[in-house]
Amino acid sequence: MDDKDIIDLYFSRDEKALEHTAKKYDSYCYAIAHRILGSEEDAKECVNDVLLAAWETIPPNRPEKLSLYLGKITKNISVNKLRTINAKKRGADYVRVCIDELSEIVPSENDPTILLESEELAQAIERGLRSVSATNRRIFISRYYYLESIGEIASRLCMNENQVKLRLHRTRAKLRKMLRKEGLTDE
Amino acid sequence: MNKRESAKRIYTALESIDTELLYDARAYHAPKIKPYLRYAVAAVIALALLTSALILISAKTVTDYVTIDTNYGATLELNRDRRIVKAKAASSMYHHTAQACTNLKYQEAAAQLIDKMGERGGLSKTANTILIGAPDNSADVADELLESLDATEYCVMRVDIKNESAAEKLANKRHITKGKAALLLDLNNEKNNIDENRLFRLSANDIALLLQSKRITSDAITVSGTPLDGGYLSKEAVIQIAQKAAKLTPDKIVCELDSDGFKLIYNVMLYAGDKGAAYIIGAATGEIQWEFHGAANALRGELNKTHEQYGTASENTPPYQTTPNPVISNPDTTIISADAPTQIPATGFVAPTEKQPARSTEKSEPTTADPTTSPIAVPTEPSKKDAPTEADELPFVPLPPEPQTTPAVQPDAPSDDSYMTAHGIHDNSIQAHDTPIDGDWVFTAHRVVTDYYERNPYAILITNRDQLLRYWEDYPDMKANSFYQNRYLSDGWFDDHALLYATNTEYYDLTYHIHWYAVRNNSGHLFVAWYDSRELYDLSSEKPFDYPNSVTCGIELNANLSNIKTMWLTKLT
Repeated sequence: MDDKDIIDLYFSRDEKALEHTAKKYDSYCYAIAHRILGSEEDAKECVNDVLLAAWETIPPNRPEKLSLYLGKITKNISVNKLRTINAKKRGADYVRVCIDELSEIVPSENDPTILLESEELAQAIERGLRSVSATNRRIFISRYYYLESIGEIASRLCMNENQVKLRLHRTRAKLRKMLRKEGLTDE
Repeated sequence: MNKRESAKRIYTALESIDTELLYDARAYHAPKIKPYLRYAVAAVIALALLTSALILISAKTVTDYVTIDTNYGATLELNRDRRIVKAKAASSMYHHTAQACTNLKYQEAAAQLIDKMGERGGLSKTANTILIGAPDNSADVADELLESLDATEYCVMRVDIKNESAAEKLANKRHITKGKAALLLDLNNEKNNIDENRLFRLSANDIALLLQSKRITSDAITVSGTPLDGGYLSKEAVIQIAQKAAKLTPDKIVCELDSDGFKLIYNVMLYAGDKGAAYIIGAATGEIQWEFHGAANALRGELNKTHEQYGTASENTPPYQTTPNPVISNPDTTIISADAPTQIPATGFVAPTEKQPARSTEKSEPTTADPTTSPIAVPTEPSKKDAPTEADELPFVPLPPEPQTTPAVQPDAPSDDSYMTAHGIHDNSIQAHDTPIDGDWVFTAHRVVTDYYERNPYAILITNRDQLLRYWEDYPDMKANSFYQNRYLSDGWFDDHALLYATNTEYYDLTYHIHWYAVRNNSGHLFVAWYDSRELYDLSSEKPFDYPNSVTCGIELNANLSNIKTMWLTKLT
């Protein structure tokens, strides 16, 4: 069955849509999820969540390419899930440590107000991350989004821990400089 | 909002960034490199760095050297790859040529140098000899070079540099290559009895001719090919000159090529019974430079005595003085130059007579050309009628362009004193010696001649070789001109060459075989020409003029640089 017919089934609210989607894209979504989550069980659970999300969002959405649509949903769910898993696993103290590290990006001790709204702030940070090297960006996101430990990041990127720390420090400094330059802080 | 809360906002904002970035950050796994592979890579990198360093060091390390000489010499220092680490010219004339040889393969560099020497007259239709010198450990390099040169028309002399320290000492002393120094040292033994002073100024071709004539052989010297003798008179012609002068019918004739330290000469001894005559005759000019008439058994002794007296002269003492020599006390001895009439020698130099006043105040009018129409006199064939008169104050007249095939006996140049007097040389603290040699003027070392015209601030003569002496201290305009000062001093021009230039006169003098001369035009611009005038260099730009090969410099200069007022010249050794 081609994607158009499957989407038509979604629109007619026919549950066979899920059956055909799973049959066609199960392994695809699983691969994506497993790449992020690194766990078979979590990945399978993620694929189920993907099918559910597809059922809930089609309609109203009518994706032109179903594979891309499902891939995006899988990535969203996987990254959120991993973050949640890691936060739970590491505990509040660990999150606090990461937030303390992030406070380096906020330069001012006195009333360090970040003037932008959350969405604008996210865009600014994204711009900043795109301006650093791919490796530094991966390290930064792994650390502060996925809450991975320095050791885990070093192992995955084949570096030693000092190199990871150094790169994190440089990226934070660069983001701080960039935020100051763009006037996002009151300094 | 405190700092921590701001950080929390950033932490939260990360949730809103592009999923692709989030996915990429987590999905990327760096390729795993096993530890031993890392060490291997590190080792390879270290090895590569080490190798590069060794290559760089070895590229700069001199392992061999060869010397090449024609009229001039250069030393090529090679690395293990037989590339030139450094090329040093014995003469600063080739300084830039030698520098350009750096990093070239040595055969290529040698060919380039030899070509350049050819361009400058070191190799020509009358001189074809190249002297190659190399120490034992560079013998294979020299052999390869010889092999390539053997295929040419050159005559190649090879000398083994055996005693390097002695050769180096002599080379430094004489501003020659170690190869030539080794050759001189090898010949300076009891058997040959030719010391360095007799040979070090000679070209490789002249030395080869001399060795051939004297049948001198040595284990350290090998010769392949035949040196050219086209620049010199034949023995038959010289004997004829001697016979004509002696006016006797000899029953035995001895004629041998020799050197007086500057040039090749012939020793001719004519025996007629118990009487005889001995002559020293310039091999190129046929000029009788010394003669002796007396007992036959005294000829050789007198000849040797003369050679001992002058042949071993240092560069401060010209051979065969043109004034009567007090050392030779034999009443039968005649010093030709003492009674020489005022004639035009091959140099074009007009020997001053007692009647000729020293140039001191007034700039005189030319006699050979009208300065208003032709500031430079066109060279003409010299003759007696061109000789100066009382009214003719000018010390120089143009040269004959080519040596005569049947050379006439030439008068000698004036003595130093008369020369200095005639030219207003006022620096009495330093001697000036100018000796015409084979049609050239040679300024030997340690001389400063100042003020061609005493009141002319531009007329300067600069000495050469060992050191520069007081050359422009009396001339504020030159002293102030750092360009000239730096140029002359920093480039070591005075190491090997005398340089003379003069302006504001209407006459000039030229020889065909000049090595260096300088000219200066009315606007104060300085030009330098070298050797046989194939190139004229503008000192201020260092770019050669488009200057075609010329038969004589004077004609070409007249045609091309009509605003040049005058020019002096000298041959420099």
